[in-house]
Amino acid sequence: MNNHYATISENRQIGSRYYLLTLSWRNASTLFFPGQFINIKIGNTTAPLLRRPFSIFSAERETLSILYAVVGKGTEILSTMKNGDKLDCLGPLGNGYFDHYTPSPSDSIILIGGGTGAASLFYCAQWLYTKHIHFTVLLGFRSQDDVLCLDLWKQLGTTPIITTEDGSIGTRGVITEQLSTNLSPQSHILACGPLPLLAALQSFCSAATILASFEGSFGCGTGMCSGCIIPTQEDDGWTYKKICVDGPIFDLNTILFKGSNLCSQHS
Amino acid sequence: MFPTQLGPLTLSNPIIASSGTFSYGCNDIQARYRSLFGAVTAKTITLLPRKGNPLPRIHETPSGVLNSIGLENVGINAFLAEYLPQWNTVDDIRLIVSVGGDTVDDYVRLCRQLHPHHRIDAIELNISCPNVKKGGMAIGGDLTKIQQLLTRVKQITDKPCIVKLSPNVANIIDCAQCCEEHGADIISLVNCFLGMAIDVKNRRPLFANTFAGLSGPAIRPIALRIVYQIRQHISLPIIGIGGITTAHDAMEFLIAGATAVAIGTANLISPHSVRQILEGLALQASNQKASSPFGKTVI
Repeated sequence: MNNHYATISENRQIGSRYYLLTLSWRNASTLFFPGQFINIKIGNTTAPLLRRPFSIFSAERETLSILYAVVGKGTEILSTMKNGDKLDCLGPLGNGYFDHYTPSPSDSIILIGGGTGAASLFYCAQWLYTKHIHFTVLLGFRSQDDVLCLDLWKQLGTTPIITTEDGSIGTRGVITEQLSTNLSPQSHILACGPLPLLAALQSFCSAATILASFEGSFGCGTGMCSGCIIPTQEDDGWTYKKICVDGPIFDLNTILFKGSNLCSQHS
Repeated sequence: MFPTQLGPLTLSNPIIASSGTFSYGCNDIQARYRSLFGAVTAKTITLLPRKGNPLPRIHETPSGVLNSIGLENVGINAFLAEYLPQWNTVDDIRLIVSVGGDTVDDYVRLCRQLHPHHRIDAIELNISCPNVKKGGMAIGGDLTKIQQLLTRVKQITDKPCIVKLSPNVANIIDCAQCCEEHGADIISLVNCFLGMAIDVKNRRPLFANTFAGLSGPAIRPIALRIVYQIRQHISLPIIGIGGITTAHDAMEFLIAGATAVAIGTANLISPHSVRQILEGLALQASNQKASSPFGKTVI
């Protein structure tokens, strides 16, 4: 982890609610792994006070990109920042998908995501593409308005299978309905999306690997405060793990959805 | 830089990491920054491991943070076995171990177990946590219990004893004086202020424990006022705590009468806050052409 004052090279709106922010960051593709995040101090005042975490959307040799929606005061301010402005960033933070699992070209790999969860999967896809490892992408959204960066996905040699709840693009329905035709017990699933999607994956999905990215209300993002806990199964009961340092990528089968109030927390 | 004599403790500088904001000081990020502090106060430990409160635990407020962690900790046995040994190779910073319990007996048992460990430089009695149902703040406002606690603790350990006081009591001056009278070596104040948030959509308290602890810049003027007031009534050294994020903030507390300051929420915002504060203090001293930017005189 480093503290880097990154210069904004692009901060453009895409779709009606989202922004793609690109920062200058030397050696980003070497420093950051898919699934990791950066923690940004937005503004230099006490409001907002805490940093805001963002998954890495893509990383190149000299730049890093994040995809975000305006959901509160911090992201509202972020959306007004201009090229050339600097952002106080901490990163890389957290673990990555490939800390848990080493893919090989013969593996059947499925990337499945929903909403802005699709963002962190894009860097996964970028990373696999550079290693000539094939993968299938399943992405679910509420409507066409939320479907982003299809052109960028296609540059990775893949056409995502898309579902929308209102049927405005792709197949009408939820993305988990597309899993059965693509899934085998030897599949390796990398997931990121809303908690109901992850809970559904856990309940009916059987695969060799299911790794999922979780979000939380971070206090620090660096393991200092124990604010971002997630209940996980242990051999002799259960325990809380910290999403920011023990995650954000977890073996989905260890996460306790039932009996916790995990699903009542929005990201 | 700015060596500080905090009662019986000698610190390389007057900046301390506040309990609950630097974990046990052992992960990669904490290990990188801990040496910048004069002392690190470990997360409060209890006799048995505690899972802590359910989500949500953190909620940002204007210039502040509400927290309801609930004293999640590994328990004293795991702390002594797994975390304390990692401090054996770190000898330039003071280690303060914070303890919490439901009863006076709990605190005494914890101190008895910590006493033999030479690496522990001081014990902080957390009698002010707002996020637990028993103990904590309930002891912190009770003069009889404070007296019992200190009398018994001082009988079983000669380690410097810091008492962390709650601002959520009506009689904090009396509590501070009681601490001085019955053997405390240092007072740290303040712990978090009791606050709450409401989930408007679901029409109920946001936190499972209803109330939570408010910290951060929003509380600084009140914490500063309390440090100033307590300074007028006791002669023990004071660790000033409450929303300090800059060198300017630290100087306010040091001038008001604190001998050292602790930073908490600042560590959450940036683990390198301590460096920024020390650099600011050094700049201040340089501008004043003084060896220290703050005198020992109290206004």
